Amino acid sequence: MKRSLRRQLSLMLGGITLLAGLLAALSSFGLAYSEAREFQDDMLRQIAAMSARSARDSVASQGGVDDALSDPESRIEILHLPRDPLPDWLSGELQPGFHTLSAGSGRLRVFIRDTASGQRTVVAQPTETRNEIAINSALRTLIPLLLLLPLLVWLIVRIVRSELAPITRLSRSLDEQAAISPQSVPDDGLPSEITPFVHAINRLLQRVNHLMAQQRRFIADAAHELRSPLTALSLQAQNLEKAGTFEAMRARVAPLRAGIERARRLTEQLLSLARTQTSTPGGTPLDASQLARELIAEYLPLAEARGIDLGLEDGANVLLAAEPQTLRAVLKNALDNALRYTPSGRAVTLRLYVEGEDGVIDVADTGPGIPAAERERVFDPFYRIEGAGGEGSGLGLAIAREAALRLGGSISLHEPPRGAGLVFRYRQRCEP
Amino acid sequence: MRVLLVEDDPMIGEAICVALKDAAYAVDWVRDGVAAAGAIEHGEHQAVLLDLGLPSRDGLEVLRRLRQAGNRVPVIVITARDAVDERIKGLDLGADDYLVKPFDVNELLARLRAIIRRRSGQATPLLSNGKVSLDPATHEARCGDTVELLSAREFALLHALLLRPGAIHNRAELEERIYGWNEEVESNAVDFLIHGVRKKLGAGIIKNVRGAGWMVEKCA
Repeated sequence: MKRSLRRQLSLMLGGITLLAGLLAALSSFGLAYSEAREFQDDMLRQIAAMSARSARDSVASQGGVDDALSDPESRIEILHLPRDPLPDWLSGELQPGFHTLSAGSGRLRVFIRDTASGQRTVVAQPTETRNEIAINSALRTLIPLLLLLPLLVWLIVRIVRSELAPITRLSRSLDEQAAISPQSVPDDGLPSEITPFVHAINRLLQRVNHLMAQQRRFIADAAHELRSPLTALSLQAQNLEKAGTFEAMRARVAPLRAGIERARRLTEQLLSLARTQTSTPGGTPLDASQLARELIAEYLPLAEARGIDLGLEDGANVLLAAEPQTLRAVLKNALDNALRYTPSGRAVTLRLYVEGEDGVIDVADTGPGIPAAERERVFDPFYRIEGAGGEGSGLGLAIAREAALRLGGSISLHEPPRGAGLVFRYRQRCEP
Repeated sequence: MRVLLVEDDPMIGEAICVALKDAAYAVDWVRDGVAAAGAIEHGEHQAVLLDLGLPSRDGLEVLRRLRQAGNRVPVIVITARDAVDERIKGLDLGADDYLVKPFDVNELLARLRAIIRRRSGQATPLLSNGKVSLDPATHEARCGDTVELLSAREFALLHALLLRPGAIHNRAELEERIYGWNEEVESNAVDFLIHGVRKKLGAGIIKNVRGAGWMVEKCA
């Protein structure tokens, strides 16, 4: 079960309030109780004084004042010694002052007062009664506190709920967001402790939106790009159908095959991009020289067919933490482009070296190059340079960059130090 | 019938060229917006097939400029942009029709016939001068009880003449309608085609006006 802040706060604050209230009630009860007892002792003392005086003043009117002083409810008993008979619970040796004595069934609180004339006044009250009175008066002091406590607890729960209401609203508004384009959440009315959190959520939503827009654009672009090869295919197939002669038919098969090849290539590149995007980053240390030699061997027939001098300059032992297929995707797209745009008779060079902590792999061609203004845009999916000709899908460099990102490396395009051409540079932190 | 194709995708361009030539159109193919504008200015074409995503000048811009200049050549926009507002924009800018890729060749040809027919003020799909009628969809010519299937070039010739019955066309005009830019035209090619048509449909179908050119009569 998740911790609920609201329940937690309500429970803790309510509990503490209850506990504190109960402690306060207990101590106030104790204080009131002992005060009541002191007050009762005082009362006994005063009764003794008053009754002694009245006994001396009017010996004749026996018991009149005592009757007035003794309260049947408080069960106070007044004795004047030696006039009154000595009760069995009282012994003569007692010192003046307060005593608690046991008498028959119960206990008595007794105050003894001696006068100068040798008379002794004894005021007695059963402790049971005293306690009852003390408890009653102490309990009465608790009433306002005990009435306030539930109110306090109720208030705490209410306050906690109302203070946390913006958060509840926030979570509801987040819940109601359409996943397809989440809007940023308003932060007005939220406590300042929560706003950084909301801002962080909003920034995340922004990034999500950006990514979603990118993906949507990519899908729209992909759908659009699929139309061209499809259009070509459908036209070529219909042309083939309409060919009148066998020769015409043969002549029309070639473009159809080319059309199929083009559709196949585009599909393959789309798949490759999807694979790259879902591949897991990182990899085990890989000898880049080994991979470079493999690639050179793979591309040599194509280079020779186009009359291009494909070579390797292996300057250093470059170890990269890379998934081989992903690094291969990076370099293959670079080599594809280099061999496509380099004219016959010129060279394409694969170069490996270490720069600082980075391993660098260059694919340098001697083709027409790419104007500086377009060197970033060519990484956009489906972007093709105007007038570059060719039937590329416009996905190659997008795939390469995506793959490079997965590997934790980076791709950039540069001018060669001398002459025309383009340097495709892949850079990644070397393995130690 | 001469059509200008504006398409930057080499494969699609080539395939459309083949399809149009099969249907007896003379086709000129340009690959970018600026070249398209230049070609349209010459006024040699009876229809333009215009792709929108073009290098150097967007197709819609080409269309806007040519309509602004008062050029009324029929234009069919051929594009992969299929959003409704794109289509509305294209039609509002003066396109006569709009075809979304990928499309069927037969649909393209039917739409092409339709806009040419509309432009020449005819309601029926058959071209006719009252004596001979020509079906642009099947390339069949009918004269009385005779029904003949014409070759692509013969069709193009008779089509050009039947679009404006009673008007005299000289050799250069007819050659322009029948052949694309890069097609070699032999000096007596037109005479050869006229001979062919006359042989199939009767000598009186196409009249020769000495020193001026050829015509089909405008009968009722």
